[in-house]
Amino acid sequence: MTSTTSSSGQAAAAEAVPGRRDPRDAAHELLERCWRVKDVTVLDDMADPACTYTLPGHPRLDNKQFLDLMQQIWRAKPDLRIDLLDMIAEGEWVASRVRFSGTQTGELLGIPPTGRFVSIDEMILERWDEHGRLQEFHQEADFVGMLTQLGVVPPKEAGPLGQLAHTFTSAARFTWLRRKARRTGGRQ
Amino acid sequence: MKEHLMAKPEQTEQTARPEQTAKPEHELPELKELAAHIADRVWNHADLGAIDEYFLPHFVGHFPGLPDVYGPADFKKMGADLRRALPDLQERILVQVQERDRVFMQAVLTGTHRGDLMGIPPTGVATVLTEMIILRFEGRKVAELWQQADYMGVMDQLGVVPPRDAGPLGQIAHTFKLMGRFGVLKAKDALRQRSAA
Repeated sequence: MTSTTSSSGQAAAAEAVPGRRDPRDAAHELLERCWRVKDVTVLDDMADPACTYTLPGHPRLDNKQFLDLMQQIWRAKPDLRIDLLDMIAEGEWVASRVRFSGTQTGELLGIPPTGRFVSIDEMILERWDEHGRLQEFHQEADFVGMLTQLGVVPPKEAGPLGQLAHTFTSAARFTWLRRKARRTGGRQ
Repeated sequence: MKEHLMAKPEQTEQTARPEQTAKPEHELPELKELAAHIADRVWNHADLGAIDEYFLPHFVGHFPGLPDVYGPADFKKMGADLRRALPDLQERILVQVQERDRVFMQAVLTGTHRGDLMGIPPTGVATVLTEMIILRFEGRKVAELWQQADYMGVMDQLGVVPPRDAGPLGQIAHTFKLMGRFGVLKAKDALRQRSAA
């Protein structure tokens, strides 16, 4: 864990209600269990049954759907690591800046295994209730950066013609990667 | 994480007692309002002068998919480009979270695509961009900014990204169609500019 844990004085300031869990601690635990421990019970333990997850490019997810997505990511990037770059907490809100990195060895969001190492920066906003249960989870991430690193989106400077050439190349490469994954009995 | 951030005074808005705090802390409770004020001037009133006023000369901006931006002048240029692309640009702040010298904001930017945006010629489409930003202040001025935003969603709204389930062949077809459409749009834009001249 990167050293963003606050000193006791700061934690006390953010956590004025007696008996209430510091949302900052809860946010740390959530990150740890979701992405390091890969604990399938994490949302049962920590999230309110009505908790919602707002991620770009998806309809709003519930606990079950978010767990499914998380498991897909665990499978697609077995060497996943997460670095906490910053954490800002006030009242019931915790905002974090994190970096996800890993090698994409499984199918992810319809992209066949590329074997490429990908590192993307994200921001996460969470709301925790007075019982220390997660109520809302929002995320923004550099998905364009991710797709560029995976070779799906052409580099910015390519222009429409470069993009067309790139799409052809990607299509051919994906077909090849899919065949390879099938031959080696790789994950679907 | 920068160590010097951790070395700052530890009181937050809820517990800060003005009569007991020294001047730098005394200013901190207002940073959220200040951040909202700056955003309002820059994005809702097209007042790029607010950037000169509130951004430090050694300002650094971290935006996804771009090299870091150094100094208020480059950030102003970004703002001007965005305003040309989306002349009716408006920003609405949804959530603000402040701790010491940092203010986090979740916001929604809306605007009609009337000028070149990320290399895409004007489509007239009403765009919606959700974003999260963090501002780090030194005193009353912005020293650093981080942004993450759903640019992919905007490309989707503009019809640039092929549908999720298109597959490689669908993607090629999509790209062909797109280039045709871009050609038409570019010609239209050129015509419009000529008749305006």
